[in-house]
Amino acid sequence: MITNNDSATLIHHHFAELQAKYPEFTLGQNLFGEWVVRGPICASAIYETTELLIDGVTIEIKLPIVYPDTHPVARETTGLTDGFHTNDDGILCLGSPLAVKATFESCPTILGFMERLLIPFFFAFKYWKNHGEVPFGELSHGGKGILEYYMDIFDISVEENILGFLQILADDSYRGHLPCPCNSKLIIRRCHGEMLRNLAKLQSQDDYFQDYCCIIKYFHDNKLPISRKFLCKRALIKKRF
Amino acid sequence: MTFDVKSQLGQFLMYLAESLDISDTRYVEAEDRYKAVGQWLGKEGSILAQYNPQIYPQGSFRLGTVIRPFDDREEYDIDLVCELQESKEVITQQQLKKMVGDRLKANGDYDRMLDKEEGRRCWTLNYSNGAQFHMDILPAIPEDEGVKQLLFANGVPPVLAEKAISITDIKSNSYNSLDHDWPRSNPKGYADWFHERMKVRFDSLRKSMAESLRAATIEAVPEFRVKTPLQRAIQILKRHRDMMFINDCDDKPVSIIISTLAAHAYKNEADIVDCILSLLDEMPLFIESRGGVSWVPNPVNPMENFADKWHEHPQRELKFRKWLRQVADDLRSALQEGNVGKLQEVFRARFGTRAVNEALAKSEKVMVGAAIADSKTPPRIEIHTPNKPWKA
Repeated sequence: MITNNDSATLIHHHFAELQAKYPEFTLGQNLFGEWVVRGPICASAIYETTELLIDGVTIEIKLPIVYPDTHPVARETTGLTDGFHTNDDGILCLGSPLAVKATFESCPTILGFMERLLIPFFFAFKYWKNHGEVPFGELSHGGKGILEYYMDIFDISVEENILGFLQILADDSYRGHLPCPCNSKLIIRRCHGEMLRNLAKLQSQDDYFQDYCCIIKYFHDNKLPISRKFLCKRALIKKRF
Repeated sequence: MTFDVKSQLGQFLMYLAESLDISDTRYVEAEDRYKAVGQWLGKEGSILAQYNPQIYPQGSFRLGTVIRPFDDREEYDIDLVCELQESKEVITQQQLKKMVGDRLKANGDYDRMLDKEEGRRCWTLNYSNGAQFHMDILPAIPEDEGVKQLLFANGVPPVLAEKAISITDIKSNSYNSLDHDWPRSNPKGYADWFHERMKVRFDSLRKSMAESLRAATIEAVPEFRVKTPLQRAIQILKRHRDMMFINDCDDKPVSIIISTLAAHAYKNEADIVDCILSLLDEMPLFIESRGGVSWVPNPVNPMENFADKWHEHPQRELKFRKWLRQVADDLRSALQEGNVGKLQEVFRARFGTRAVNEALAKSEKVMVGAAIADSKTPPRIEIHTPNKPWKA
């Protein structure tokens, strides 16, 4: 079990790692005891053949109580991004919820959060400012964006089929011998099985159910038909719809 | 309620009020601008010079309860009085209004800034170039001695009654004629009354500020920099009201009612949480009932009811009382929760995201400071499999 002292030591350790590379950052604690890392980003970022200098943005990274089990969140405090993929509470939308979790999981430190999530985000912003488009694409807002994300990772083009995968993840009802929801006519084990098993480790059934609900809402708002076979058991029990 | 939670909430509310406040720079900027207007109006050779015009602020700017607009696109509204030494025997409201307006128009800059639509009571100057405020200039002359005596007879201390003024109003029946019946006001008297209500706390805060700043005299600390818990509480209440009534502007409680009732209820508490909770409990006690009609009398003119609109719109009084209860509920639930941090989202909804975020940032104690950069070369980061930005 991680105690408060262990957690503070870990945070100081992770901060020292960040500060070695980004010396102008500070670590503080607000009056609610939340740890906050703050400072100006200055880095040269390269994506494929494009190199951009990211500077002039000051950020505030807030660490959750359960850091590093849960990823931090960040705000841009100079107002330069002016609403670019930013929630109403000022939190930057660094990717779909699962994508952010997975990326942070790959390097769960403050430095990892900075270099794998924040710097790509500001790279996208700067590129968009210069060229009017995001170099690696962007997701739509809300449930549609989450749907697009899953369509990307499952590499399928039929929107409704995503509900089949999320139903399995939310209900924990993976059965390898059943037909794959992507309509490939293969059984799941020989098709998207490995991906489903890996995804199940990344976040909880509840989190998948949340994503499922966001997508169902998008279907509902846009009056898109939903086959009954794609309704989650837990959705039916909770009478969410 | 534990001491820790209370002091946590107190600190948060103080930081919140600071975030809502006008900055010192903006304050000084506004003061410079209105002094410049005063100089122009009273300049030697000007038609107004003979009336020895005095220009002074009124309203929240004078009371120290100004709050910042919601966002940078909105403007501060600074209310000024331009008081000329003249008598109702020889001047009409219209002549006074025109005289002040003509003098403003005689200056090319002010002429350009002057609102094309003449206000009912004042002239409005719209400052541009990022000044982010506009000024309402209210022409006025001193009130008649007879009226001052009447105020005195109604319980207004002579030193406050003495400061009463007469103002102009296009809709007044006597606007065009020589008449003694002008609309009345007394912003200086009201501000003196308001300051008297918090004098004990104000003097003590100013003294301790002077000590901590090692100022030569107490007066060396500008008054606008001293903020009592009463002023802070009013700023917090005003923002809570703005958020609460964002889609119900017609029934939004007016600031003068909030300030008056709060000043009545203030008992010079030193602690912001004690102050605001006591205000919320006691403010309704100062709403009088006169012949079945609710009254919030102007403390420097008891014949004026600040809540005169409540009679015509009874829902406003109900909503006002309900709103006070809501603020009290919000703060008490923060105390009962035992962890103010858990209520950040509620606070964001009540006071606005920007102000709450700023208050939180102000509360930070830096544990590990910034190091001096050894090298100016920024790190090079290669981006692999980036996420596509998304928005909830």
